[in-house]
Amino acid sequence: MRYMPGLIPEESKVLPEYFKGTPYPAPAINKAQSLLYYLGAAIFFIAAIFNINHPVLTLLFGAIGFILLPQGHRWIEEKLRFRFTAKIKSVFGAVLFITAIPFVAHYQEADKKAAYQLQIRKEKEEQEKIAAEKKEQQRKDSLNFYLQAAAGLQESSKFDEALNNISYAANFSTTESEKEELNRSRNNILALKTFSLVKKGKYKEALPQLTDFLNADRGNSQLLYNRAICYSKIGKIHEAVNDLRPLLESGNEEAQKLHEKINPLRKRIAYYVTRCCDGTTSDAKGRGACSWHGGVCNWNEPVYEEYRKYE
Amino acid sequence: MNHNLFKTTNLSQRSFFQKIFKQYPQENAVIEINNLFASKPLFQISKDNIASIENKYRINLLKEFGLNMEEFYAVYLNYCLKDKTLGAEELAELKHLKFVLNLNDRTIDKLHSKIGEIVYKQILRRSSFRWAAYSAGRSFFKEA
Repeated sequence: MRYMPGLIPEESKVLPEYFKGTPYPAPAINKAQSLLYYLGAAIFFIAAIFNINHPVLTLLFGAIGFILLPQGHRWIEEKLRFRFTAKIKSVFGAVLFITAIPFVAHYQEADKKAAYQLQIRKEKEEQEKIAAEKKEQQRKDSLNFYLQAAAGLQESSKFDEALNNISYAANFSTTESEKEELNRSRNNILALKTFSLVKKGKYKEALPQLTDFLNADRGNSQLLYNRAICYSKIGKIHEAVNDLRPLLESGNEEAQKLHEKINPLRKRIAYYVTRCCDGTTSDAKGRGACSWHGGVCNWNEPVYEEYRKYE
Repeated sequence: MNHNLFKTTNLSQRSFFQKIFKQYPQENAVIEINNLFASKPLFQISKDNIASIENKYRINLLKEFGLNMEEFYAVYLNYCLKDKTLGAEELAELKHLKFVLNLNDRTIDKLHSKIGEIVYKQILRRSSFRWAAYSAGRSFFKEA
């Protein structure tokens, strides 16, 4: 029930605890109505949040939700000082709702258009991705084709053609790893080409190339071995032995054979001993030598030692 | 009924929205009733006066502002009981007030009981004070 306070003068006032209230109490509605209002308000508030990207709709739905709330009803009556009757509320709510309809339609259309554009953009991106993947696959295929061709030509000792294929392949290499692989292949072909020069006996021609390769790859056993061959063939045995030394340490059999060949074991007299007739030796040089060993069989028997010319 | 119990109050101005929706401030109906009590003797106020105000504001005063109607009655009842007695004339006035304000018997009984309780307590408190003073006086004179 509503109550208009402040009418009775203070000196006449009675039962102040009983006579109190506000002229704008919450509308008297039953539980079912209240539930319906809260439900309606909740629906419109959810709609307002759902349309948060469209402020006009958020505002309109929020306003409808607000007037449906009993608290909102009371607030409007208090602040705007008028009776927010069911009729006014219905008309106001309907006006808000009807106002919202063209906006809903407009935003639905706009959303649909935006979604369509997004779909087109995604499809375009997808197509571009597929095209890029296809291009990339073609590039890789080309790269592999020339690399395989180079490998085949290398097998058949057509090194210049193999190098040409490596050059073609270089046009299709983009990543660092691919470029490294190409470099490795190129160096490998060049090394094999140089080895073929060694096999053909063109040692002087091969030697500077081998030295270049070794500068880039110092520990390469094949390069060392081939350079050792070249050195040995042009008479630089000492340099050849130097190249073979690390290979001998690692137990390389080819290197051992070459080393035996160019720097074989030799024998020389280290000193002489007195050989007794029972097979023993004596340090004595005078009359008593080998006296208890059957006498002297050889006064100057040479003792040999092994050595190599290039140590 | 002008015993300075009620004072004339200015009516509220119509708000913008009340003008738009052709509404009158309903609290003005209560203010007009108050002003009626403040300006006219009680017996000159008729039920028609109240009804015309209700018609003007399209309101059922007892339903909407029942508490204010009860308060008008309670204030006058309290005034009548100032001398702790209700004379025939006062009873007639209260009966007329009840009729004019359209208050039911149950509400009237409730208000009588609430106001009566306050008056009874006042009488009781005053009697206790007098008895204490009387006893103190007697013992004083005895001693003298």
